[in-house]
Amino acid sequence: MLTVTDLELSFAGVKALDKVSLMVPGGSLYAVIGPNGAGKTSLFNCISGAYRPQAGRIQFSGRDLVGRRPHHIAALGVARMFQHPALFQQLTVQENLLLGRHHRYRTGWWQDALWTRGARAEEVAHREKVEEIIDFLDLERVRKTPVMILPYGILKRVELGRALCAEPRLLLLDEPAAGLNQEETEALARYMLDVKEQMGITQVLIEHELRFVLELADRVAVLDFGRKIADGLPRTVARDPSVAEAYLGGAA
Amino acid sequence: MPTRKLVTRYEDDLALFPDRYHKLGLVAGVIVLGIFPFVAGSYGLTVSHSGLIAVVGAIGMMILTGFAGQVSLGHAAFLALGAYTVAILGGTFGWPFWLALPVGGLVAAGIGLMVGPFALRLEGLYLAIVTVGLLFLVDHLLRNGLDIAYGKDYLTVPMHTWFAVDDPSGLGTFRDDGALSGAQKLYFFFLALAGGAAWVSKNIQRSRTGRAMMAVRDRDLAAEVLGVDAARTKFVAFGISSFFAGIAGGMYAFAHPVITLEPFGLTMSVGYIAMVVLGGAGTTFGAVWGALAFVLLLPLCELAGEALPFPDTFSSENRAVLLFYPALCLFLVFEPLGILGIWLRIKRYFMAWPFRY
Repeated sequence: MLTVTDLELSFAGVKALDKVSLMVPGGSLYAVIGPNGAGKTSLFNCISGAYRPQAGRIQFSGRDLVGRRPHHIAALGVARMFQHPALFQQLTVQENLLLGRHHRYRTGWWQDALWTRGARAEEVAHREKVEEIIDFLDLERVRKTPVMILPYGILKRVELGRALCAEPRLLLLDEPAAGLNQEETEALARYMLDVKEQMGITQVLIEHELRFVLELADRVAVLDFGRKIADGLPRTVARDPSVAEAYLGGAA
Repeated sequence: MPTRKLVTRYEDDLALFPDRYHKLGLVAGVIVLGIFPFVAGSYGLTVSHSGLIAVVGAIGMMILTGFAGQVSLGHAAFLALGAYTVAILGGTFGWPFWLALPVGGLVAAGIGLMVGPFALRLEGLYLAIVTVGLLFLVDHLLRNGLDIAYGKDYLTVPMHTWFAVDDPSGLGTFRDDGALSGAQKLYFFFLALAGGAAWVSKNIQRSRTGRAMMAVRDRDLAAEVLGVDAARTKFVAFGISSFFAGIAGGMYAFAHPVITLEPFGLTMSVGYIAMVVLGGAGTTFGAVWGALAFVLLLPLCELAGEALPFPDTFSSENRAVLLFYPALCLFLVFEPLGILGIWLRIKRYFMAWPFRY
């Protein structure tokens, strides 16, 4: 589904990613873990087109992603949830979710400006789809609330919803559980399993909370200083001595 | 008694006048606006012309700055382009007003699109400086171009042959059959244009195009990752905004028998930004009410300035400015959302009535 081959990215001498290769099978929940500064978010930025890697290939369903602009990659079916909720502060939850469907609209700006029959029909059709996601994530109560005044836990859910509204085939989740309490984390895990089982969306997850990763993920890759140091089933990776060294330091 | 209508279809959620109260408001507004030109004197009509011009210009400003978040100080340049295009097409080539006006808008939109590439690289204050440069450039080109082409720095606008004087032979002219004066005809024509501009702006606001603009305003990287083409969105915003500015400039030309470049300066650009902020940034409501408040309050401040003990050397405009802008600052300190904030509070009061909240 997603194949990353020998990806290299550096910022003025700092190697953020050093020959990283990954193979994410379709329909799986793939986790990428590693200490701070290991290059996890840089990897996501390369996949979604925000950064352009110096070398290496990223292939998604047989298409090369390197060199494409972010909105083009989104249109190919890659959606992303940011580490810090990157919602549009002044818009309502419903408008944020509708923005998730932006690239699926077929009407142009002049049709919108003149509010033609086509533009109207499209707004209603996408609204119906958004309502399905609102229902899925239990967001009915905050549908018309501006995002600005919502608590953090709900923001995370809205952002997951915005990514799901795009009906992606690949979903990138950057620390979705960061800053959530126990109940919210459990609810999130439930949603992620539903996304996998009911919607069949492939997910790549960055996470620090090891228990969350080990119980949810089908496969785990470990990054440290831009290099991949381990890759495999959660159980084997957890017992890998080099992983413990990366997290706890050589002396431990 | 339920104060809100129960929404049962998604179409109803998108309607501009969703319930009885909005529809009543629309009917009342149409009646008041329809009666106004027959009650108001010639001074009232002149002020209303300026108000409607400002509404169209402020809607253009709102789409660019309020929706898409691009700060531009070059708005007056687009108004100047619209005004001069209309004046030249009408005065020199004898085009009918209904044809010259949209062409004026398109010329302004064309120049507006040329600023687009700068907006892709620059943000905030940097973009504002570029647009100031554009303002001076357009001013310079128009000033010298007119000097070369006509040997004068003003243009006469054949507004009188279109609106005020009986000219049944002209294509698309309003016949002066005695029922309506030229100023009244101009009022209704402007009212239709302002209504149309507000309608288009509202349509953008409630559809995909407007959401994309607001997404670029709030977080452009996140917008791109979601599939919004930020570059294209900024281009569209600049195009639509300068089109409306061009139309407003054309309207300005209609309302004045002679136009010069003097009014189309930095003061006018700042004035449009003030209207947008005064009304409440990010909404069509704010553009309309900000423009009307701005245009109506300045003459009031002029009147008040006459009465207050300023030094005699101060002109009435100086006095008005000295009163108006500090008042504007104070107003925004207490009501950061502008007129929109007041309206939202009134609306909330009636929605919650008889409870306090």
